[in-house]
Amino acid sequence: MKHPFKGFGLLYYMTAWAVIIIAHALVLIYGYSISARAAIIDSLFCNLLLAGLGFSLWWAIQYINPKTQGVVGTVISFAVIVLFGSYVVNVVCGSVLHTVFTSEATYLQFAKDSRPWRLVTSSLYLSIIILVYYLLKHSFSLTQKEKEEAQLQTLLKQSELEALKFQINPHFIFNSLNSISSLTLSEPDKAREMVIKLSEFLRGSLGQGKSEMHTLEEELEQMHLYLDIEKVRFEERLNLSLAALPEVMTARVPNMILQPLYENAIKYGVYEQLKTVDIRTHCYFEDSRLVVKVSNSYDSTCKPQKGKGIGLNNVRSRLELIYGFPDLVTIQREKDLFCIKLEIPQNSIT
Amino acid sequence: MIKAVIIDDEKLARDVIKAYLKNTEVEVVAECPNGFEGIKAINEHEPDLIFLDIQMPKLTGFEMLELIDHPPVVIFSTAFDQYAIKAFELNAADYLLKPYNEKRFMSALEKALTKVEQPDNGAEKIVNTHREQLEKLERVVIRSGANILIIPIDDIDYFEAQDDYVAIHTGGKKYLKQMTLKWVEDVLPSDRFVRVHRSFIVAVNAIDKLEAYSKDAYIAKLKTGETVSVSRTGYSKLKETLNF
Repeated sequence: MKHPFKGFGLLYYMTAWAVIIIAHALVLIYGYSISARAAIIDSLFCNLLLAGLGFSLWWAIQYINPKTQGVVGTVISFAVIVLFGSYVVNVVCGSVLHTVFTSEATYLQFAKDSRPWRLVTSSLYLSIIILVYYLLKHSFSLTQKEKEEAQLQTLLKQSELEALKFQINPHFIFNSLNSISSLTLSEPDKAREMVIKLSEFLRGSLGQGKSEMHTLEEELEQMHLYLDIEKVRFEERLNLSLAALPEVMTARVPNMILQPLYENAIKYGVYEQLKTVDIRTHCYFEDSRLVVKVSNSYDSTCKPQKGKGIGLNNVRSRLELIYGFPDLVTIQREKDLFCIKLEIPQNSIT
Repeated sequence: MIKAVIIDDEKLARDVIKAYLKNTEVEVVAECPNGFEGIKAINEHEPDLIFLDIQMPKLTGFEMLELIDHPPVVIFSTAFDQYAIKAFELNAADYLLKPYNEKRFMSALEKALTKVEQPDNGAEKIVNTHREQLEKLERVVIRSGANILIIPIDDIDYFEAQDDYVAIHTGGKKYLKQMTLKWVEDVLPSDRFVRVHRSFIVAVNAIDKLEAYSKDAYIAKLKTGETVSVSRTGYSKLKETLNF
């Protein structure tokens, strides 16, 4: 931290001293009937010396602190500095002014009488300055710490968000590659198409150069790639439908937020069921929120093989991190229909 | 001619195997999209060799194998399953990681064909090793006459040791399965199931009340009306789990 009384701070410092100097002079003139000339010079000389000393005490503060010297050590060090400083200032003031005002008897008498009091006031001034320095230093390091903490928080949030983004299911990748391998034997054209879809999907989900948010339309296109690939794998076992008005397509949604929903639907539906599975998507506005509902038929008597909604927990935490509301994900489980409802706040909606 | 059955829920995956088998001495007698049809086809055709996917709807490849008395030689195929791969490697079994090329396929096939004539082809051992690798059990598959039952562990009231078998009691019915109570204890969630006796593991939710039987023994009355013996250590384990 640089000296607090440098630049703009110096103005405050000098203003405070100017007030002291004026008050000091006025007290001398009206309280002790000392000539204006002597009073002003006395006030200026003494107080400017103190101001200079006080200003330089900042550097002493840097080397004396309770962490290295203990509280008692610090207090003793400063007591010595303050007392010695004010003593020196007063001795210098006294001797110099004495030679200047040899002819003014009232002033010389007053200067002699007031010596102990001057010692007390100048010690007080210096102590106050030290306290102010400590106060400023403390509040500075506090705001510094707060800033660092805030920075850390945003970093943490970012990395958490990164981690919560869709992690590609290895089963999906390798099984898709196996389907492609099979298609190269029978239908090379379809194989090529699937390779392209898989690449596009992977590029999107690896998220390079992708912004955190995009429109629902882009999100659904991305999901379409994924579902198309799954459709090649599962053929007639997978049945997809979408219900959405054109106006919802411009709504903003986090990148890849729907992925775990579809993955879940496929896991519970297609992976665990022998008959055809319907996956329905319904998007609409409700107040200022975009609602996306993804539902799939499933067999309630069947337990999934592994994994317990980690993907859905990720969606929940991600939405909470982005929007600051909990409970943006609701799961409705009926007899043979599993439905996940996402609510995505839309602030800029008119 | 060697008879083979392909069991995989994805048609394209079955197509690859069929294509690779075209110019070999192996004849594909059946293609099955799931484990249920797989069991039917194996009973009907008695193949020498099966190609078996692991992750399939309702019944995994391992669960299907458990339900077959004398499994034929198996070539497993899987996309990604660390436990399965460990089980294969421990038994030097033939397995294919999807996707695989013809060369890899042929070497697996060759290895499998040498086993076709042997009485112990290792399939059962793989099932057991895989069982040991498993960390938690979520459902039990049982063959009951011509039916196959998939029982989620939540539906099970208690397990009872009976010689080489464990009796699974669910809703007043009882099914036998070849396994050990020790293994069952290891793979069940310990907050929901407690080994209350040398011969019993009980679901804590199934217990209606506990009664003192003698100085060192208790009886757990279940909601189904059945009773289960509880030893002194079993009683203190229950106490710990249920916090009473």
